[in-house]
Amino acid sequence: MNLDINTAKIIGFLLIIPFAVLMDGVRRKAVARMQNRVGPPIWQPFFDLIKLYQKKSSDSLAEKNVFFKIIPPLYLITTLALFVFIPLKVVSFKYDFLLLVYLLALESALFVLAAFASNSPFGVIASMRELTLMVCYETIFAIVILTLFIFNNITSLAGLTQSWQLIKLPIAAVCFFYVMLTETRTTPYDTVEASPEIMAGAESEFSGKGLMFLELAKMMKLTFFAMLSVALFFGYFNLLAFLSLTILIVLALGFWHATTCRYKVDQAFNKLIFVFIFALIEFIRIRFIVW
Amino acid sequence: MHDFTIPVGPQHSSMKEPMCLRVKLDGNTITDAWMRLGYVHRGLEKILENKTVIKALYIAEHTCGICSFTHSLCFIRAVEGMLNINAPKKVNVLRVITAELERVHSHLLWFGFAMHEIGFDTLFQYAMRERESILEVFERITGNRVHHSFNKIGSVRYDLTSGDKIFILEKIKEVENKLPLYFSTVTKNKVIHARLISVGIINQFEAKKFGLVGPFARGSGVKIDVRKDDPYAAYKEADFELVTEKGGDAFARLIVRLREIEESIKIVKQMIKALGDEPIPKPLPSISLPNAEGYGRVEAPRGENFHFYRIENSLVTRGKIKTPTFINISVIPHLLKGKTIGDIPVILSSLDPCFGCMERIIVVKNGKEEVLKEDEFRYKYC
Amino acid sequence: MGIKTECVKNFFKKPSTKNYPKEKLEAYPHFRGKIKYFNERCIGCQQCFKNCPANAITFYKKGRIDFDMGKCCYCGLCVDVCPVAAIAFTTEFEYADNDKKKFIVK
Repeated sequence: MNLDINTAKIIGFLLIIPFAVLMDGVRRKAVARMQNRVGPPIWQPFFDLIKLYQKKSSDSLAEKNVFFKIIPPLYLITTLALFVFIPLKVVSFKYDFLLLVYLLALESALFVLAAFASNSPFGVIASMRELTLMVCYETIFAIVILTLFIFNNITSLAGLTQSWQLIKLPIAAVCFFYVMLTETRTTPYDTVEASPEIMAGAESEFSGKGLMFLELAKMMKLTFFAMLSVALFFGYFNLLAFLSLTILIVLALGFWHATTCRYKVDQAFNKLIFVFIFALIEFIRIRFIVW
Repeated sequence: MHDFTIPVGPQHSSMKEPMCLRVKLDGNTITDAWMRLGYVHRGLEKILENKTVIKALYIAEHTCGICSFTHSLCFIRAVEGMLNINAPKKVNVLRVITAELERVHSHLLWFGFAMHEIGFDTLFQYAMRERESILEVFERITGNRVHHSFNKIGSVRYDLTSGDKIFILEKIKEVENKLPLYFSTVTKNKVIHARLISVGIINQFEAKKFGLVGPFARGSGVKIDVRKDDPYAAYKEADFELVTEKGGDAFARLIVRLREIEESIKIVKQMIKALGDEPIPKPLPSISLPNAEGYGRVEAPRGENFHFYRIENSLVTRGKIKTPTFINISVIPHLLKGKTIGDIPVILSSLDPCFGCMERIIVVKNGKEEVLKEDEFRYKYC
Repeated sequence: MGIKTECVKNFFKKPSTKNYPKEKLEAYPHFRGKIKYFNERCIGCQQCFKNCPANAITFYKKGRIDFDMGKCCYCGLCVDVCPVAAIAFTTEFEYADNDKKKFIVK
């Protein structure tokens, strides 16, 4: 394990939280402009979070459940822990691929647990959907990361120095994009929290601070995936280029959100199976055909 | 997985109005569905009683918020039939213009909500944008955006000026220019196809058996439309196509409604051309009616509206309002069986339900609901 | 032309909605908004009171009539029927309030 901590990095790490919230504001504004409306101000998510923080939590029966109470902060901490790898590289392990995949799986598992603890039939359905899709997208994510590691012959994300891998590994990039859509709950793969069908799943039971943690974690997940995709497939040139590329990815996700609608869970699963096969093809290809 | 029941309503985000729908699930599949209505019952028929005809017109109009003009038109048709008034041609033409604009606005609203249910919020926003231009037309020509109160007995409230005509044509053009975008999106987008095609299929035979009306029946290939079957106002002069589709699924209903917007725009254009220069008659100040009974039926955006009125001593003593959703809603549990949870909002929205105008009567005696046959009901309560 | 090109186009266009509390749409002159009552013109004929379908009008005496805008259905019968034009519609439409008493026009 290699710990590399200094003041600048800690400040940078803390600055990620407002940046993530701002990214969500940018996405909302961009989607609003694509839909030809004025939209909320960019700093609207800050107001939302502050308002949620001030609210009292509801008298839901699920409040008695211990899991229901501790999962939102845990979920947030797990999401925050993801940023350790990207982009500041505060901690780097010798084999950190496993930890990254594990953390993401843990996050999804926490969501499932929260949904079960929420004591709501819609929450149970949401967790079923999350489990169904998790089987696919976590595997794809693992394969894509493994492909990158084997292609670059590295064992840690810190060793990733090549840039413009988008051109070298195009299929892996596309597969990663699909994972990103599913993880950030963007259409057409936002079946887990389809609000007209299952009332946003487990989230409808949360309120007050718990909901605030969940919302913040969701915003940070969006930024994390945008940053991860930039780091993996574009490369880290300097901070400005990195952040602007992140904004571009967030805008692309917003565009996807604006121009598609939602799949049903079985259709989404079928589509993800295809993506899985393509990810496997890419994984096998890099061993034989390399350009 | 155990089978369990989930509540879809009374408060559920796939419904804009309250209705209790319980769905029994086996895994992801619906095995049974049943519903309970009556959350927005307003006792409207009771309010209608002992009102003069002029007052009752505005109460009848408030049956529905979206298709309010057709309800007042239905009332007018019933009362003018009783009084033997033949409104002049210009008045009829103005009524047809308003009714067709209302159909455009209602279908656009529905289109937006149907797209919102499957997660296509962009089309929802665009549909609302187009609907806004129709509402502006209403605000200018009738004086209100939703409850127009445009009809008067034997006349209408305002005449159209030449500026109004140009304004209507401009705004209609805006909607018409955007329709190809909707058609191309709906027919090309694969995700929309995956969600809508072969969902909620009801064939022509079943549609007739359930007695369905409006675009819901027309999506199954049933040729039913009061505008063609029993023309009223100035629909005899209008040249339009009765839109039917053969699919019978949610997608066919979507296409039917989108094509009906086109047809309505066509009718509005024809009617503006047919508009004469003569002034509209003054509305009757007071009406003394013979004791009579009469009915009217018109084609609302959702199907056939039926109003029945009995008048004694110039007062309405009984009103009976039958709205299209009341007929169409009966088919919902039948359609839901064997589908998945994701199909519930699609099927419900493809019906275009309007619970507020549908709910007419609840009979509660000794704390129990009473089930009545049609004849018994007529004998007891009419 | 598909939805994607439309989205990209709209991204660079001016939005069609208004930033509501700051910018407002003008109501058209026919618009039936809040009622205005000229009590000095009133002759106390009670026609408006008798004709109201929503029972929104309370008649006290000549020159003193209450219009409850919370009950009003904006049909315009009272305005049409008044022989001395003592009642008129304004184009004002923003009067939502928590206090029911503020809906009453005197």
